[in-house]
Amino acid sequence: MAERPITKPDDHPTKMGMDFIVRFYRMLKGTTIYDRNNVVMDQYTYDCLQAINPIIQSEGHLSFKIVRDNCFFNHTKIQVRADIYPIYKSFLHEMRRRWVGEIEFDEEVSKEHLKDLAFLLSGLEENNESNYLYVKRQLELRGIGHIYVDKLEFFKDEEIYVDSEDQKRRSKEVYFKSINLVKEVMEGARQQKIVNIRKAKRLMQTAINVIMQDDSALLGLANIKNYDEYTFNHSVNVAIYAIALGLRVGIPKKHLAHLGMAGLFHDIGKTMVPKEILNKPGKLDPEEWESVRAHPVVGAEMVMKMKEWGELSTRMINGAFEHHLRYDLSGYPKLTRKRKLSLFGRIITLADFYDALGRPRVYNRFPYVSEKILGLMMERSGKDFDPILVKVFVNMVGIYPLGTLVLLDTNEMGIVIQAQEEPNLIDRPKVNLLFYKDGQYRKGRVIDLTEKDEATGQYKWTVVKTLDPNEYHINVAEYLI
Amino acid sequence: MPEDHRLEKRSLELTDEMVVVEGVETDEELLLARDLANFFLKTFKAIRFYPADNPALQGFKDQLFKKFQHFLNKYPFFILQIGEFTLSFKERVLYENRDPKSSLAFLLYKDGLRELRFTRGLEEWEVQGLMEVIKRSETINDLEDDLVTLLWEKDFVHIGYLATDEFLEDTPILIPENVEQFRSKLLFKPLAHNVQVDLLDEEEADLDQLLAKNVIPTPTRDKDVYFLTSEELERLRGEVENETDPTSVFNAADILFEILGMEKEKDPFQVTANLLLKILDGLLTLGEFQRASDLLKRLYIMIKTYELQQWQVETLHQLIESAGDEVRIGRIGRILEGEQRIRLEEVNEYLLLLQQNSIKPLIKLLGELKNSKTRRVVCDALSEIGKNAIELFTPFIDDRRWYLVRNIVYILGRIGKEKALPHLQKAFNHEEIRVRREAVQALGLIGGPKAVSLLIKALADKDTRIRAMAAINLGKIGKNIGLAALLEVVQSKDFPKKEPAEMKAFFDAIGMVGSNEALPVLQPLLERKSLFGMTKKDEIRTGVANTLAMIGTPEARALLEKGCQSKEESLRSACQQALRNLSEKEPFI
Repeated sequence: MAERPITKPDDHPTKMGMDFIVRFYRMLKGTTIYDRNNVVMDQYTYDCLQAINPIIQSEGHLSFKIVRDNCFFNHTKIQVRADIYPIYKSFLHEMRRRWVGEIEFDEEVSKEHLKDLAFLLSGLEENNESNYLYVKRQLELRGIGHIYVDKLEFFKDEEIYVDSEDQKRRSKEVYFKSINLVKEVMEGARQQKIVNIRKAKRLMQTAINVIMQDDSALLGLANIKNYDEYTFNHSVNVAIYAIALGLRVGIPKKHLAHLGMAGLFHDIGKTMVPKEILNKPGKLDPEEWESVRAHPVVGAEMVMKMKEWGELSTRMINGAFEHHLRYDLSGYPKLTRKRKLSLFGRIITLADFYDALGRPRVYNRFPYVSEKILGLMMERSGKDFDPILVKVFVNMVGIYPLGTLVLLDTNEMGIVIQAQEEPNLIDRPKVNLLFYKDGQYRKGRVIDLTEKDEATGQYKWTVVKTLDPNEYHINVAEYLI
Repeated sequence: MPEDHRLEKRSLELTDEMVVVEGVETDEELLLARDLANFFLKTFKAIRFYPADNPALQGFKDQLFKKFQHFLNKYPFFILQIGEFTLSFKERVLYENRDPKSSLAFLLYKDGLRELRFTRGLEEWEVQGLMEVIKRSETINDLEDDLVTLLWEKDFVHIGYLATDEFLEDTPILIPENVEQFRSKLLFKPLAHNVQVDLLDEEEADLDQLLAKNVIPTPTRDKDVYFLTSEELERLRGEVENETDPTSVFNAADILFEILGMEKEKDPFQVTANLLLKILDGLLTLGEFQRASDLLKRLYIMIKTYELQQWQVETLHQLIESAGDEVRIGRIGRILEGEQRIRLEEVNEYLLLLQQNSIKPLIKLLGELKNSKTRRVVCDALSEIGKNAIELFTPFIDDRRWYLVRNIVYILGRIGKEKALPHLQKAFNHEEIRVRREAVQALGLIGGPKAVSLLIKALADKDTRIRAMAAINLGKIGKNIGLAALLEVVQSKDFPKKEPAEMKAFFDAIGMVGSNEALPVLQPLLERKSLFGMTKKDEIRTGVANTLAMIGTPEARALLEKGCQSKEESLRSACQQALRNLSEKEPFI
């Protein structure tokens, strides 16, 4: 079978390429905060030169090209490492927004020329396909002949969505279609009908395309906890968290689709638990409890019946069987033999726990705030959860996960809508301010907590504390759809 | 290039679906696009026509790749628009075929594909991969996969596509456009108690309390706890590599065993057992015999140590039997013949775990295997598995393949049952010497008076090697009856005419019996003055002296010592040498 030749993250070009992206991106971001002669900007440019000139010295040139979701560094595809992933993704996003897909250096670059390029790129208008012409002209006018930029090779209607509204629309479509589909498949499987998996696969592919582009819209939607029937809604959330986490962990695209499917159907065994038990408001008696606890096994068996054995069904069996097993193998079903849980199973367990705790419960119709859940996850890391995955998860959702209601030091209130890509800015997300008018909260502008006051050099906003949205009668999901 | 012409000709009438485009001659891009689309179609047809390993097919693919390169060197993209029955380039129809069965356009269109886009930088593996995908899409299970999924999974860099999935929806789904629509579908009814408790290990745990005491203070200064160390990154990478390795699917066996241990219902128990068998099939197909053996061992352990109901035991037994049925044994044969790296001791371990039902297919396999080492493994396994079933082997004594007969004889010998003797007798008269030799060996292993009498017969075989081997085996098992026969031969007047090796075998055999009863025959042989040439006499003397040394009794030793005093030099030196050999073997006191 013709498969793509495999490159590894520690291959030389990949290492150099990632280094280039990190430094170039930092410099590009610097242009939006600092002016050209600022010391910090000088440092960023200097750092970036260190990643460029040695390569030109040894290879004669440096080329960087974006082809669809991939980056090529001196014609070799870059494999992304888990810790660099957010920066990589944001860099691609920034370049796409500017319609610039290629940068090439033919000779060693000077600090001033590199700054010229950085400021030119950052000043570009969004979504203008002719940007590259402008940059070319400007470089020419400045006598910079050895830096070359070119247009992004791009098809607007392909799986790449530049425009954030479009991205949001696609995300919503995937999200609500998925809820419907989970319902259809689970009901079908329960009645032992022949199940069409193909549609679910296609949906998961779209979800992955969307998440690869920008996961914030779908992760935001995962704040929805009670749309239609709980299990279906929850299943979709788990799939989303699992895919987003899997992507950061470095799971290849094809396997992400399997992970998504495993997330989507991890609770399929619940369809066999009598509804009276599932919906019983009081405490369950031991027998009823036994029936609930059987759902991982029943789920795995349903997958076996539903699908031919292969990679996908194995993942789905993992997801169904292992999602209530803890990292230390406690939980259920009780195992007779020690074994390492599958990576996919551990990812789904984490996603399941995070989403399940955030849902309304019997005595309190409102969910726990994410901050508390993350605290619990951190505390149980290494016992209940894979400690490395917990770290990646927290990095992904942020200390203030998407949908968290926060109070700022300016006495303003807002909902977190996007985490920062740089891990050291984990406590400075983007926040959509809320204001109270005519008896309800309304959306205000979006602020970036990394912004600093130019005069004082201090951050303009800082989170003082998180608030329980229930106390303010806010359903955060409504602000994220 | 002549190659070009050949390919073009071989594609026969493949071009009749290409639509003539007016004005093509004046537009170079369109001209090239038409040529490319034409060859794309030819290659597709060739893929349908030729088996995958046909070299002509590779020629088509190479040529197609060259044509793509040629086009993309001139123009940055090649976009093929897909209509229900047409393929177009820049809105100009290049191809049309309205027969859904044979139309390439329809094949691509039906799963939602609307455009295929090739960009500069296209690599060879991508063109190959695309063709594979198109071919595979014709035979996939359409409840699970489609062309678009296959394309997506390939994750091509320079081949993009545009696809629609609207046709997959039976009924339109409400996507809430505003908060009101969203709210209308919200269900706020409180959820059941179990939803809460099933998150935790124990029912008693109070989630509220647990969470209440875990309110972490808003972000800590120490952000390091969120950063991954380089070791953690490395570990993560290793885990992803392992998990995405195709063979990781076999790990599902662990889960299946857990389920088998818990399941009390017949249907799901059977479904799980069936899947376990599929995993076993996968392992055998890849030649993973160690893991396959582990799987079987776990089944045996389960049967022995779990409290199972009778039907469960039966199901597991069936599973074990399936592990050695004709299909699986055939699979094992293929891997044994095809793969060099298979560890035969692992194969042996697996085969030893099989049941009697595997005997027939294993014998069949034995008749097909070419490599002698692998045949040996199968024979050894059969000798174990077939211990109580020699009747399954004996019909093959009449097989026309001498090598199979020989193996069967070998196995019967190993099993060592006297019941096999009448069948071995047949082998004994086999025209192929290797079969007869094996039969003699087998008799030596089986032993008993019947075997001895057959071996005695074999002392008169027409082949010297067989006679020698029969003698040795008689020496091993024959005791006094055998000894008499051996001595008779040794005393015969033809004996000195035998090959030295055969003579030695007879003397060794007598020595092995180790009885003084041989002495009255040996003594005259040792001392007799020869009528023959000196060489023969010396050989016999040396042989007899060594035999006496082997017998090793005081009487035998006395004969040797007496010989040492002889005036005849050859007698003296033979006895001295034999005694020296004897003292070298005896421990020093």
